[in-house]
Amino acid sequence: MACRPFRSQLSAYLDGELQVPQRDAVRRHVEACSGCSLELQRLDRLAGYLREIRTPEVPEALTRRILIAASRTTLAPRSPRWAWVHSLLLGPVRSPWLARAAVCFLFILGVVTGSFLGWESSRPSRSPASPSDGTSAQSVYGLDVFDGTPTGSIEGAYAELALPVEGASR
Amino acid sequence: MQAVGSGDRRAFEEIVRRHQQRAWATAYHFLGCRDEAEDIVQDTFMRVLRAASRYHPSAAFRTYLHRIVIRLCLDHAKRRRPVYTDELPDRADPANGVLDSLIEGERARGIHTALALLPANQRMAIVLRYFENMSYRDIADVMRITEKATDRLLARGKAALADSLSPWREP
Repeated sequence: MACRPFRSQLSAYLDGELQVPQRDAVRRHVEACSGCSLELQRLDRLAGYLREIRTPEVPEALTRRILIAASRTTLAPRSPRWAWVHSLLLGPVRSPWLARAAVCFLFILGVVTGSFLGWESSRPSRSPASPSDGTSAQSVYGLDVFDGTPTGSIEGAYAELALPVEGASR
Repeated sequence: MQAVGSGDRRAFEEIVRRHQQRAWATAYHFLGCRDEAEDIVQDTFMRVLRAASRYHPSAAFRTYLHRIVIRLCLDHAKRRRPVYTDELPDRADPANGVLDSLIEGERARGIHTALALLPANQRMAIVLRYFENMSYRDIADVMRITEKATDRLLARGKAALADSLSPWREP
């Protein structure tokens, strides 16, 4: 018999923490399975022993000890002048869900702003100082420095020397 | 707590008297040692006092206090694994004695000894469930874990506890 899924639920079953369908399924299994029935009895007995253990009364000396220690503690109350700053900055953080929502909002805001700025910068610039024919990228790649023989380079000087010779030969 | 934050010592005394039993029960059963439990309870209330001016009621005060006790107990367990050599009862002979036959004090010491061998989280879950009668949901809340994790801690803790108490178990 497949006991494994039921064994792991015996503890919660005993503690009355299972939903009705799960509880009924475990009960039916335990009625049919001697191994799980024994395990259930074992856990039940343990729970009984645990519940029997009494908690001793709080030692009277402990209360006195705490109050004496408290009387020696000097409290530093928060300055009311800065209380509004404290509540403004730390107030929302004390609510974990609000803090999570704020983090999500900031993340989404960052993604949207980044996407917008990226889209804007990829559009052809309409500035009068730059080319307006939509070939700005081609202009950049056509710059001299990207040529195979840029002006002023050693390769360029050789090319200049060689070209007239080729022209003369034609 | 607002009164405590503004320096009202009587309000603090009232908080101590009202909540010390629960803090004491958790610390005592978790640590199994009166002296260490007293230190934890005192430390808990001192922290409450020092934090009173910054306290914001995001949860019930009882839950807030319980979380402090639990955190201090778990930190204590991390720093040093308690040894109960001076409190260990003589184990009953498995052939003649069973846990039922032990007198109450011996049985309690035996169970505390077995509890001390459990991992701290499992031990804390068992303490909250059986000595404070808390639901899985409440345990999950004060231990800041899920209900599923609570279920797992209790199932594993109980199985290990039953195993370690097996010499005392009825045949």
